[in-house]
Amino acid sequence: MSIACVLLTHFAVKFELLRRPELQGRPFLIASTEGQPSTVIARSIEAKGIDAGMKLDHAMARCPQAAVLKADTGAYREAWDRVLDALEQRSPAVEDAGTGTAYVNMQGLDMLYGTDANLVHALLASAPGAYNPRIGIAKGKFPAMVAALKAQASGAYRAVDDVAAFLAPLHVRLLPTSLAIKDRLVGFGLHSLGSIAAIGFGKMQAQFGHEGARLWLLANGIDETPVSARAHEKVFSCYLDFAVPTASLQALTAAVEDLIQRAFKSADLAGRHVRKGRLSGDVEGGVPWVKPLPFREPVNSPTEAMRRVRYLFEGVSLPGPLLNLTLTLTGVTGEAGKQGSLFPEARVIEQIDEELRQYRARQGEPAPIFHYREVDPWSRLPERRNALIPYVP
Amino acid sequence: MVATARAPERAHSIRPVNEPVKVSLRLGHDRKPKAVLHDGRWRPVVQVRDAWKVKEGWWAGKEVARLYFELHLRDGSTIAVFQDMDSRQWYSQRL
Repeated sequence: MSIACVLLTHFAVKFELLRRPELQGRPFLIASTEGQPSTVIARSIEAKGIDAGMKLDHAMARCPQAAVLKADTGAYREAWDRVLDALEQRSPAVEDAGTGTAYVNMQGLDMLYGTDANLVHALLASAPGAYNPRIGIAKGKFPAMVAALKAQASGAYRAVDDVAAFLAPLHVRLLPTSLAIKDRLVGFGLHSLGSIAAIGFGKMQAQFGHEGARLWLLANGIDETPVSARAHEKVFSCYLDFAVPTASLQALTAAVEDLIQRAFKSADLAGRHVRKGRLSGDVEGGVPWVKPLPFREPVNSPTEAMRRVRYLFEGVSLPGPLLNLTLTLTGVTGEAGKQGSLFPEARVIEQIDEELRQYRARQGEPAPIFHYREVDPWSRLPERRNALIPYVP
Repeated sequence: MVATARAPERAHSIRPVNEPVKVSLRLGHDRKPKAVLHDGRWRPVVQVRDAWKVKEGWWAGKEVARLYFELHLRDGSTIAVFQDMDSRQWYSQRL
């Protein structure tokens, strides 16, 4: 079974270049907006000496002329979803392996496209040319990904039939595993996939357990994990333009209320619950503003949704005047939108355990909570039949 | 009955359930309970429903010997009392 890997390298950088052509030829960094300290998640080719994962202040010291952009992960995700949608028009089995990487099951597509070359052209056309997609074709997902890395921009590469020989000279950093394991492999002197293949299955499994066995198989080009088509989620969105750009939280709240009212009046959401949402808008002279709206419990009315929005808006400050606003609601569920637990008792016990741990942390000794247990139920002395055993969370 | 020599109860110690509680009784000429002191009032015994002896632990040198009575009181309630044959002290206990 042949699998094609569709690889759009440096997706975020290419997305920003498409959106802001003025950045073309200039050094810039894309910094994560989550977590402290801020780190670099991508850089333009002109921003030399900077690696992904580097702390932002360190990177700015190294490349002071670089412009810094806040990562607009929501927009990257939307753009990538559009690529996946286009790929799904060419094959029904498309796996999303993270922004910029997708696997396509090619089984049966020869009936549609005749030759692999036709299919490759169709896959390349699924993304805008500026992303320079690369296609790798092989008998498994891992060799297909490696083949895609070897492909030229807007081109394709087919791994030879002897996949192990194809992979042998390549570096172990290509393996899909943790950095710690890669470091240990290098520490053992295993620099190439060929050296892992040569060392033998047993030794790899003995040293690295199940993960070692998996890596040995991958180094030999054996990857039988199937392409799992992505699940489709119903998405509902609505939009408004501000007549005058606004940076006022009151105006924003009113606009959100209007969008939420419109959303719940629509036939698509009638009688349904929604688990999460997202607000986004273009900012005058700045990067787009995005605000996730996670609803703790699924909501099915504008009142419930607005209660949550007001709570989430506490302490929010806009980066600049908003030109427009888009509300996107996802996780649309049926009538009974609240998720029940398969094991409600287990959940209650977990809550009790957590409370007891907190009690112990506060008081310095265990809470006086006990199990009532039979100890010697047949004793003729009643006080020996049962006992209270301390409950240890 | 020998009192248990143990440390004060703490949150992490195992606790017995249904330990006997000392009680005061008035006995008749036949040495059977006639009234039980409860909540500061003497409650007359209407009927001794049952009586039995318990001997435990004699094989281990820690003998416990009790004489139990199940009593029906005038207020309609039923309680169990026993006399520890060693200390002669009376106790009440749920059965």
